[in-house]
Amino acid sequence: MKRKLALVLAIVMVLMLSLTGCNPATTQEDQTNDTEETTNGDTTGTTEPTANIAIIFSTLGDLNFNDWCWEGINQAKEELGIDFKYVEAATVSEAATQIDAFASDELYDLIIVVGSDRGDAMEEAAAAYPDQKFALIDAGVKTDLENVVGIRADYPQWQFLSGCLAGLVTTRPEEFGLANEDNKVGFVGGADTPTSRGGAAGFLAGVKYMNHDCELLYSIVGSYTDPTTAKEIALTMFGAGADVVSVNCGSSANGVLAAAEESGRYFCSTSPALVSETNQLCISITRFDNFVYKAVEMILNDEWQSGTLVYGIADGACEISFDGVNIEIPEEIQTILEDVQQKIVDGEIEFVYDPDEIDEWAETYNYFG
Amino acid sequence: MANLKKNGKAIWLAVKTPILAFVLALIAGGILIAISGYNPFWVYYQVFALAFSSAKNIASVFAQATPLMFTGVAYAIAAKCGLVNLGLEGQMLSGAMMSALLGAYLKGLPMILHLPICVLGGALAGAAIGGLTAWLKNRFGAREIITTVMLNEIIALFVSYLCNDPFRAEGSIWGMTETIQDSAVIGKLMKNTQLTYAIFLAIALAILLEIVMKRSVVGYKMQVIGKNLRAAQTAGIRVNRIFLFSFALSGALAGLCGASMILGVNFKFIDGFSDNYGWSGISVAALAAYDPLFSVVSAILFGILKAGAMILNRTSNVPKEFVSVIQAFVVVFVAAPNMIKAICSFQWLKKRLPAGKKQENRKHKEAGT
Repeated sequence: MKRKLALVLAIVMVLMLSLTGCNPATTQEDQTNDTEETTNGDTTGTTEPTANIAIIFSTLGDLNFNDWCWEGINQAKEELGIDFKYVEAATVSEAATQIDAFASDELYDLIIVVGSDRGDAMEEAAAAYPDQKFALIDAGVKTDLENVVGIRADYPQWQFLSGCLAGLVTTRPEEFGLANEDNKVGFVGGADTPTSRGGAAGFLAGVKYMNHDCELLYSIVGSYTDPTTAKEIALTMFGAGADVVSVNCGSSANGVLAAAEESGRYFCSTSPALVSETNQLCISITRFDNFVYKAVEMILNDEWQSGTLVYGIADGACEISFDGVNIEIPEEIQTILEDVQQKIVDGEIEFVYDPDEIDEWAETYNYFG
Repeated sequence: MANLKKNGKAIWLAVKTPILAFVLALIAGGILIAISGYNPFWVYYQVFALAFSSAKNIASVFAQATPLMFTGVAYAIAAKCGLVNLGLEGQMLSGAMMSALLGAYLKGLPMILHLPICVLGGALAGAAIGGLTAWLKNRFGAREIITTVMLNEIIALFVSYLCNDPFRAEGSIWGMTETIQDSAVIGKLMKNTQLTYAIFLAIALAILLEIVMKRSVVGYKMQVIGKNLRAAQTAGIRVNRIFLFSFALSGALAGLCGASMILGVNFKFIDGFSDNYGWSGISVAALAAYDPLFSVVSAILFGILKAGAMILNRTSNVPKEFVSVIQAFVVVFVAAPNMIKAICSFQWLKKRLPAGKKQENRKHKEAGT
């Protein structure tokens, strides 16, 4: 027994030495010379990056928000020639420390903070370092400091196009196998907050826009991490005759997906990481990568704007995606969706922010007149 | 002289397990670092070097250590009388919520009253939860290991509900309470860092409790119960009372941890603000051989690791999660004292020596003593 232990320890030591023996030089240099390598390869002779950006994530690898932002900053690195330093901070207090450390380095043209819960920490640092620019992704800012910008999506625009699609699908059971005769569409929200209401209003207004007589079902789970309750709610909706249900309820959405698969109805999600193979209708996406990219562009083009910036479909910040969806969307419907998108870009549609006001809104806005 | 030698040997016996556990944990963590492609020697060197590379970084070390001091001492106090308080996280959260609410909604008090009320409120909330566990144990024989873990869940969800629904700050996207009044803020020891005066409270309490444990009747009773429950009962110690006392005290310290984070660092209860301060307390206390004063030292040690890893993550993108791995390994190794014994008795080495040499060895040993 003890001999085995000794053996294990010996192997461990050898492994450690051998693994490290071949690694140290490369890893260390990889870390520090990452920027030099890319710039050295550049034959035009520009050795300096166009801008130095620091970015603070919460947790990378979430297949969602943080990873989108990661895409965005990497895209900016490739296309705009910036250099960036990143760090992960799981908690707000950790993020505050990191924000302050980056700011006091005085090396960065912009510090990007990813996550709405870090807004206060960022604003505090912004007040302490007035010459340092900060950008917050996915939330507005409360201060009127000149060096702070908050970028967020216009909540209703996020799922409006998905809503339009759902409104069309529910009336066409002959084309869409999982639709039924009942003219009903549902939405499952996570919490009753202004943000969440705005998102729900966008989807449901989209439905009404295409389908004036559609009955809307709207329910709230009360938690972003409770798939069980969400599933029950969704099963009730499907039982009542809904054939498309969309969500905005974090991981509770897993329950809605399961309910859709059990009931054989359609499911709309908000994350490419949560897609049903058989029952997915579409995915509503907020392009956080564009938020990050635009923040970087503001620095490079000297177009700095402080305050809160709200992006929507016209800015390429919200879109409908069919990645991994196994359902054929007829050309006619695709044309309609493109048409709606054009109308939004042209500013013909004013959005509604509260699910309770949709009926009133639908009096003025109706695609088929 | 002989006395000194004896004392030295006793101290060595007491600290041998934790020190070896820490070294083993570093080795185990090092293997993981090596597997993820970094040189563990370089990483460890950088962690310790960076942690002390500037005044701000040193402040960061102590800022990281402060919450761990509270929860480390909290776990140690309960462990002294044989109790396993796995409910530190819940007690910490309840203390945090209590102090956040008192800090935000008690208005018009001078600081000299308001701050102590908020701090005490946090301690009392933690003590109440701890006391509840002890009461369940005393009255109904409920194992504290089970009740504390379950209470953690209940409290975590309850405070999350509180900051998401009834006490959510106006217009906030993320679940958080209103910002506390200025009169409830624990001052920063150093500008633009997370280091607050709460660290003095933590150290003072640790010293006080060390004295209580070593010099007072209650402390003596606690130790007797911890060493031999039956004997303590036979000797007429009112075990239930001591259980209640030590659990409430442990809970109060955990509550203070929460209060110090809210009143000093976050200024409001933000959903998910905890970096597992409660759970980390177990590693801290385990490394300190369940001694209040040593807990402060081991908290600082973990503070160095955490702060150093944060800086390293910023400068070279080495993931900082390896610190949590080391923390967990410490507990594993401390919880397996026989493994440590086996390793440091070197019996596995002796076994390999031929029999003759073994006897020689023994002779040498006898001659030595």
